[in-house]
Amino acid sequence: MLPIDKIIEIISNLPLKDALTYLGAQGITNYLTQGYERIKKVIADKQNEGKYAFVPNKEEVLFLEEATKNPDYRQILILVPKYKYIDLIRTGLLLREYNRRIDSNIDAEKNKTHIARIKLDILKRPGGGRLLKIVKLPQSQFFSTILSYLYELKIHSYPENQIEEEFNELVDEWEQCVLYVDEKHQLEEVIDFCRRMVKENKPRFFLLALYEHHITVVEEAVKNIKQEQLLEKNNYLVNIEKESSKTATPRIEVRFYKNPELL
Amino acid sequence: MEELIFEELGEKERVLLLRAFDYDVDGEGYVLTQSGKKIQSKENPKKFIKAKFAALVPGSLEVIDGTPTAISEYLRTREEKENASD
Repeated sequence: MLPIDKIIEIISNLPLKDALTYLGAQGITNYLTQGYERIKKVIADKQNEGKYAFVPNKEEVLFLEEATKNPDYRQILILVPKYKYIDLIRTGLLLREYNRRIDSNIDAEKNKTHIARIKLDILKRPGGGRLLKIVKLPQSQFFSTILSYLYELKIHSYPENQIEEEFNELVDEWEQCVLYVDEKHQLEEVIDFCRRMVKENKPRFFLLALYEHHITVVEEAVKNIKQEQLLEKNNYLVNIEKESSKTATPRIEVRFYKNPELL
Repeated sequence: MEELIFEELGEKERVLLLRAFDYDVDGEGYVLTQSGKKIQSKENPKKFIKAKFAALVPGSLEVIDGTPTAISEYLRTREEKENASD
């Protein structure tokens, strides 16, 4: 064992992690030995510089740190800044990334284990079932549709607490009020979905489709229900967003919602 | 915002860092406070924090849950504090 002065000299010049590793390699497990309080002080001083945080999974934390810049997360901060479970949204973005890696065949087993660990941890929390629903939302392809809808409410001067209320309702209900139109859906089914939503007096509902053929079905459906004056009679507004750039997948998103000015 | 360096740390080294701040770790791996109590998770009151799964963050050494949600909260509040002091 080196003299204490020598150990201190060595660790003083090392970053904290390396200093701790060095001490571990020297067989030092505590500071109870006489004179070790000086070693303890060097370690405490290094930590007190406030430069280091030690985490179970560095890669995960770096993703979470980067997720601060994610446009969806930034939008949530603007729309519902006081939302109690805002940090679960960022966790949802992490799960979305793990799912993306699984879909791309990148370390599929490892990423599935990460997802299972995170979900289990959340499930064990009080109200875990609902918390899982919140985490699930950013993983859905409807997340951006929901954000656009909330943004429209904000434009219509909806107060923050009401936007938060809407968001909370959507966490519970989004699966019932969205239709992803794909090859399984005929035009009549899409129209029926819209009619049912109106009949049930849903405050909002959404259609989403990718690729030209499905986009055409959605556009036809909207045209039909407009002709029936179903929306007008029931005070619904419609907002259609269509992307047909050459670089991205063609996409249409239709948001139906009760006219906030008449509520 | 001052950059924070995130690192992983082996179990022995974690214990050594904790002990530099008078925390300890019991035989089952739970972090003990200076008064010998286990640290409750803020997210789940039924859960106590184990050294292996903890995040050890500045201030001077704070022990928090190492779950993504707890770390997200830490990052967010840190950013808010930094913004408030600018």
